[in-house]
Amino acid sequence: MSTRPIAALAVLAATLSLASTAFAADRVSGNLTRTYVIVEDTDLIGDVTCDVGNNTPCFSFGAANVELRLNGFSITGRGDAVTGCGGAAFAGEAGVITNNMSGVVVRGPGIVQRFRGDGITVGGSTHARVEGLTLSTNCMSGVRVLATSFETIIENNIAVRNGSSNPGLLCGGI
Amino acid sequence: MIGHNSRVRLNAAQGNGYSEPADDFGIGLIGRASGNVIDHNSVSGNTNGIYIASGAVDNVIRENVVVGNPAIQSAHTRPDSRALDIVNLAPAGRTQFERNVCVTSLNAPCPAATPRQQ
Repeated sequence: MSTRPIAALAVLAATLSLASTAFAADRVSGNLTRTYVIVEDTDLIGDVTCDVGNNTPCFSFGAANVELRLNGFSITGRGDAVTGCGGAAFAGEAGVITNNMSGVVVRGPGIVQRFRGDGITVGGSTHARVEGLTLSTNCMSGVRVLATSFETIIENNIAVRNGSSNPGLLCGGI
Repeated sequence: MIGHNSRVRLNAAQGNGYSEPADDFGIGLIGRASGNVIDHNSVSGNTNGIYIASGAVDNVIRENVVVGNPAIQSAHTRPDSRALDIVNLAPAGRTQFERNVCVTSLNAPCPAATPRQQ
């Protein structure tokens, strides 16, 4: 019996495996103790709690034109469940920052809550999108778009109970 | 938001902001935000509904429902705070308002909440 068909099948299987690996999205769930840097399309496959350092974001984009998809799960920070703050606001302690990456997307459904900064900070980015999220009880704004960002689309989100009592710190839903 | 040429549409912003100080909002155009379109949003029960800062220019506020800002409990507890459905502090004529529904405002029209003229 010839071994040639078996060898061909093995090569085909290896090729398919490599192709599958190349296009698979990253998957995240559980407790994060360091900022998760998004370098390719990334899916939440469970709820995420963020126990990162003060003034540190939970997720940060490290590549352009990639997505973070919450898939109905939550991203929860260190803020108080009632006030969102637990003391002072920490401007850098956001749920997700776009980090100067353009064409990035944060896509719901899913909830971003209890961050002592913003839920989502869009900074230094062009054509970023934030859509389909619930942004609740964050100590600054649900979504904040900085002056360094252009042509952002914020669509179909629900922003509730975000804000800061710090004088002069203009905050709110979006 | 302080960004430029952005689109904020079909969002619901409710119950955002502290009443002390009364400078928070449901949707805010702050700093020198410019060229943004805020449309078809529902904005209720926030400290201020839509807040447009003095440096914001050339933005469009279109067909939003902006009512119940602030909630009556906040207005009752802090009657001295000036919070409204739409607060426009931008220079006159530098913000375009089209067909919004609101009840209280500063330097912004609320025509859709008034009785239809016969």
